This record gives sequence, structure tokens and C-alpha cells, in this order.
Amino acid sequence: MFKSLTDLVFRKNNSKVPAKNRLQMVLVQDRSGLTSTEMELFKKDLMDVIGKYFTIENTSLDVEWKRTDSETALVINTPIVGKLRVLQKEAASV
Amino acid sequence: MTGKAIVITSGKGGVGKTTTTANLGAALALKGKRVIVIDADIGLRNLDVIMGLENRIVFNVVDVVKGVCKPQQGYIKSKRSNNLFLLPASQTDDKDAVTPAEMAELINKLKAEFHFVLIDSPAGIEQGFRNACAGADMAIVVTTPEVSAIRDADRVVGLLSSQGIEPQLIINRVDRDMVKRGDMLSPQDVIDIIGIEQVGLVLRDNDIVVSANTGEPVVYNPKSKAGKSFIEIAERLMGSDLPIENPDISSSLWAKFSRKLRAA
Repeated sequence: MFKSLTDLVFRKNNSKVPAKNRLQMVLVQDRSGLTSTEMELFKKDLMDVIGKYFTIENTSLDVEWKRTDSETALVINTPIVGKLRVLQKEAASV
Repeated sequence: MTGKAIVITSGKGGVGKTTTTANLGAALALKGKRVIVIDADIGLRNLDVIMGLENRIVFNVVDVVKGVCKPQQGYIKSKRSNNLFLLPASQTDDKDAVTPAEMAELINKLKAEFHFVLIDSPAGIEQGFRNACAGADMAIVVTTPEVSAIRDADRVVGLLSSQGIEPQLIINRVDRDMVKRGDMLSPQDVIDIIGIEQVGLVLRDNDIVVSANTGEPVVYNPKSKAGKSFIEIAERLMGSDLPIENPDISSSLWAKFSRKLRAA
């Protein structure tokens, strides 16, 4: 906690931060084999599907190709805003 | 004897594959292991000059594979160790002079005779890389803490994993001061990004340039920082669980305190 805090405060202007961000962006493309345009389409489709069931922030969908020792996993991270739509529908039908 | 075959590769050129191969070979031999290093960069050989053996070459890896000479006639014993041998690349052939199947067969034979078979891969991901990987049990991916090298290393890690070869990372030319300033990705950053374990890091060291000039691997220089790093990596390859020093975290209290002062 303290470490991440100091990282935020002390390292904001250091060049390793953009290096890491740029690498993470480029590796998503390399690992998935999708161009940046295709990636945007993929994200949009994902948001449409997730949005059918959950209320999510429209702008933030974090897509990552994460490598573990044996495999590469697709990790999607998005904050859920408010109540789940599915639950609201169920509540309405009772 | 059933030795272990390790390919040293990187994707990007110029990150230190050949230096790493020569020094790990020399370090393992210093530890009493019987080692052969193979230059798989056919057409652009360099491991011979890094090891200072360029004047002793008679036959090469292509001759051995094609049966022009016996395997034992192809290896060159190093000047410093009776345990260390070099099988040089051919300088006049093309990358496709040997096939992956022929390389795998050769490496299999060598594993019966040596504890470690280290294969110095050419840069790139084409035929030369495929030849170098054929027959390897594990891979060492060398990268520097730079965006372009890490990107290429990541690509190579993906290719190796899909071939069932376990890759481990060496992060080369780490500059402690730059890491502490936050102007160089730390080894931990690189591991987080690529997502595989490291077998060690090598500190940036001017002795590497001197050692290339003279053809004497830095592990023979007890004062060299990089030499020390390579010896530690060799110990880990032999099964030791020697901890890896993390330059991201300064050990002294004063260093921590002064960093806070500077940033305040």
C-alpha cells in the first residue's frame, strides 16, 4: 500500500512509466494478433454483450492478454456501476 | 550421461546472446561441469571470437551434421578449461544448410557426452532460430530492459511456449542507478510484463567490452560485476536456489531515506 503510494507520488515523471504503458499496449496487439482497429471493434462488441446484463461504465474496458507459466489468458476488467441489470429484471418480474 | 540442452535466444539482435552463451559455458565449466557451446548462427559466426578461439577452427557445425568430420573433430577445447568446448558455426553456408531434425539429432548425441549443451541462437524468428531450438530442453531468453528488446523477447517466449520449450529470462545490462531513478524498467517490471520467471539479471559492466576485445569471458575476471552475475546464473542452472538481487529496492536505510528526501 505504502509502496504503491510512493510509486505514484515519486515516479510520475520518470520514463519507465511510459515505457511500461507503451509495452503493455503493444503486447496486447502482438499476443492477440489483432490490429488496433480490430481491438477497438472487439472491445465494443464485448461492451455490448456485457452491457446487456450489467451496467458498466461506457468508457472503461480493460482488455489484457496475460501470460502465466503454461498459457495465455484473456483478462477483461471493468467496473460494474450500480445494480446488476439481471437482478433488477428478476426483481421486477416477481 | 544425459545432459541438458539449453538454447540461448532473444528475438532482437545485440542484446547479449553470444556473451551470455560464452560466459554461462565458462562458468558451468568452472563449476566442474562438462560443457559444449554451439554457435547456431550459421553464416554470421561470432561465438568463436568472443571465446578467443577464432584461430583454432578447422571444422564446424555444418561439417559435423553432414558427416564431413567426426563430431569429436569438430569441437575445439577452450584455452582456459579442459571441460569447455566450442562447436563453431560455418561462415560460408546459409541458414538452411542444416534442418531442425539434423540439429535435434546432433544435440541428442552431444547430451550423452556433456552435462550442458548451450546453443547460441541467431537473432530473429526464422529458420536459424528454429534450428537452434530443435533439440533444446529449455530456453534462456535474453533481454535488456528496453521497450524494443522486451517486445521481441515476448514474441519469442510465445513461440517457445507453443513448442513446449520452457523459457526462462535473463535481464541483461541492468543499470542500478537508472532503475533507482525510475528511468529504466526494473527486472521486476520486465518479469511482470513478459510473465515468465527470471533465472537472473546481469548488471551493465564495461568489462564486457574489454572481454570481447581480448576474447576472455568475464567470468574469469573476479572483479567483474557481470562475471559475478553469470556465475550466479550458472549455479541456478545447476539447481541452486540462490536468491536474485533486486536493484529496485535499496538495501540501506540511508538510501531509502535519501530517496524520500529527494522526492519531497
